[in-house]
Amino acid sequence: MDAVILQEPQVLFRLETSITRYSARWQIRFPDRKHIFQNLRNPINLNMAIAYRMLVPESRAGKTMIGDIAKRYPIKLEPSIRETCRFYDTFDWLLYGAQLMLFNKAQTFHLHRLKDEAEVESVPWPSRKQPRFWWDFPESHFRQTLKSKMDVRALLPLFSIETRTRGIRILNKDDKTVLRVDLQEIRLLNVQEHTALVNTLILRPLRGYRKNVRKFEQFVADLGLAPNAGDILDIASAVSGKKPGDYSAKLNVQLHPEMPGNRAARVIFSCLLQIMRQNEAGIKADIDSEFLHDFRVAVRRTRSALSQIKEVLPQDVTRRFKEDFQYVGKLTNRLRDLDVYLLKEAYYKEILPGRLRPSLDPLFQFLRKERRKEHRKLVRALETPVYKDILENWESFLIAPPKDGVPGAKNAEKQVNRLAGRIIRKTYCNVVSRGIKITDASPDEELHALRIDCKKLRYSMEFFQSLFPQHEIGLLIRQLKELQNNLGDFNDLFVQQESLQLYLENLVAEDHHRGEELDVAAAIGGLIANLHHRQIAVRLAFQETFEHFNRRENIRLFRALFG
Amino acid sequence: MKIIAPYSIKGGVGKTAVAVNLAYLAAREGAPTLLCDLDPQGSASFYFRIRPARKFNRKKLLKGGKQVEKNIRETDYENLHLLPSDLSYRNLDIALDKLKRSRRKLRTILNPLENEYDYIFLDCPPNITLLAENIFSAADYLLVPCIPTTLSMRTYDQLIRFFKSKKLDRSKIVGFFSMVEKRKKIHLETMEEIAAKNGRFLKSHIPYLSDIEQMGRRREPVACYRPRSRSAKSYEDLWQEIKSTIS
Repeated sequence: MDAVILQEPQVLFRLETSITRYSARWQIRFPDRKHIFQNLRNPINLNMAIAYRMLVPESRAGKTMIGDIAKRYPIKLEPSIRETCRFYDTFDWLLYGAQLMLFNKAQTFHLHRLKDEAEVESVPWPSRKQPRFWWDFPESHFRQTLKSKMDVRALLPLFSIETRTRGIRILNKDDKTVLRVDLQEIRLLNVQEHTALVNTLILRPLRGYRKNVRKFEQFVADLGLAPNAGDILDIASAVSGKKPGDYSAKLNVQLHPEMPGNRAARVIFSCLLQIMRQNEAGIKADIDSEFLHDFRVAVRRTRSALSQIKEVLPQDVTRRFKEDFQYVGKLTNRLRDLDVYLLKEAYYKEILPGRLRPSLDPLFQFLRKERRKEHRKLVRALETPVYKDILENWESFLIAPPKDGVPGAKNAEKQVNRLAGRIIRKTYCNVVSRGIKITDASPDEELHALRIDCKKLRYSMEFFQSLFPQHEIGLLIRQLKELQNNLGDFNDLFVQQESLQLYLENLVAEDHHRGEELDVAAAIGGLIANLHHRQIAVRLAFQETFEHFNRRENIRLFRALFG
Repeated sequence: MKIIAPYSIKGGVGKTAVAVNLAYLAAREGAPTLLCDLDPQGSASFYFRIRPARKFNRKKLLKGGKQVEKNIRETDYENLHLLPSDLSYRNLDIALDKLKRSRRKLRTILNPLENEYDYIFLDCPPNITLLAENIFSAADYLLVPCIPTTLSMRTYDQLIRFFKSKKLDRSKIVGFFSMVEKRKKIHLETMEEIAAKNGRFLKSHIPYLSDIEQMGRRREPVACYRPRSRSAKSYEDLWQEIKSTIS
């Protein structure tokens, strides 16, 4: 059965994520956690001194350090605690990006702020099983926070560490604690070669005793402690050789305005190729759906750049790799379609009345089975010499020094900023001239064509983003994104109805176990009606969205930036 | 945020002890808690070994805002903060009298702390002055410790009458027995009488025990130095009952 064929599933997926993001934003406002979120928003509250680490030199580690402190201050020692923590983040470091760290310690998952390592929330985790997604955690506020931060990405273990912590209370003449300090040893676990122990001193100031902190800081600095050792994630990452934030699916290329076109194109293509390579392992291991998604976006951007940045590469090269990457893209289409449908399972069930929900199970069982098959197929395809050769040849082309005077590459030596302006201008004009012609009576195909034009404009703006003032181009990209969201939603809803319709027709054609099918058909019918309804609403919003995009300020800004 | 004020017209009935111990128990459960020491004697501050900053006084308290926030001190216990008292508080009444809306002043001072704390305990000086009226309007609950004797019960009735005459919300008043000596006949009889007629009295009570008097020497909440004692248990029971009454 080929019923479920989608054309542009990545847009479909965006609809889903925007829904989950919005709901998560609301759920985050629990009144009882107000103080914590207030502190998160404004961590440098004048009165809330923040904990931070200092690095203890080896010569002063352990008892020496305690002795040194005791000589100067009355202290109270707390028992030493040994703990192991396992740290997690998603492949694209979403938690790190949100200034958070997640770790499992003593059968509890903790979410801490990076800044001062203060706990935001925690959830007990008695099982030995590793959680992968936010939905693996029990229903809680913790789970909602993770949902809003990591969306559909899976957690990957980063490293495990063992800490030995000795709490020391610094007292004043009334025996009142004026500062808490923790002497903490950090050791990386499960590594072959011997790694050094890192000794740190954590200063945990008490509210209202800032003066004592300053004095103590001076005292330990005189002993040779280095200030601002970073947080525990920083320290453990440095020892383990991991670099937080080292992967992002965003195209992050830095171009110079005077760069010749063929050079700039190579920089863009190399970055996209790197993204493909980085995601291969995750696709094969089937860690989460986003490895494939990022991979596909990189492929599509490569194809778009090949056809948009015209006449900078030799003609035969352009033609050949356009075909090659089209082939690579095709390999992944069906699997992504299925991923998108499976990600929508909860949403589909939600919009149906409770009685009909179980009737969708046969559909999703079928999709899951298909997905397993399709995944095996893709993994095999990625192992074939055909695929490997494409990427290897592309790579060797990109790293080879560009040749002069190649026929058909008249833009090769032109400055990239001129090329960029021209490309963006052209795609922008296409979008506007097509968009203003669309009325409420226009056929759906017109919106489809506009969606494709918008995508081209978006990609070209992103390729050359670094050549233009960051704030302005960012603003225009965001405006364009809004328009794309509307068009994308419209298309997704249409495609979904089509494929559900096909599924329904196939269902009628097979004529076994009649009774259940009636319910299944009712459920699918309900879905189609619902999606249709939403599609109409999205279409109605188009005019306004387009006018918003095409308003005078934006036109002026486009002119100012791209001529 | 809930503001709870242990209050009594009569002195020496265990107000400060109850404020200190309940604030400690609330914080121990993880709720960010502030104890405001409003008594110029500063006993609550003393129990937590906290001295006010040299520049902190009545004026700064009444200014509110940053002046108050700057002077809040963290105790040795997690989640428990304290606003220390100052001797200048002895003239708080006179200072309040000069202000506009003098009966609501304390509430305005405490309001900005709402986001930070789940509970604020007010340790009040024993009398029925303008400061007391401020406390009546600021507090969500007045926790009135009563020794089960005639004189102590009389002051409780006086308080009720005062609320009636000023048309204040009497449902704020929650009484409980403090410094109870089971071997004294008068204590038992008074408690029985009250149980028979007055519903707003809590069932838990605080016995008269030397553990509690030790607090002055130990300078810690009872549950820290006698965690398993009867006195620690009685504060815990009281706190649980208060929580179920106020939620």
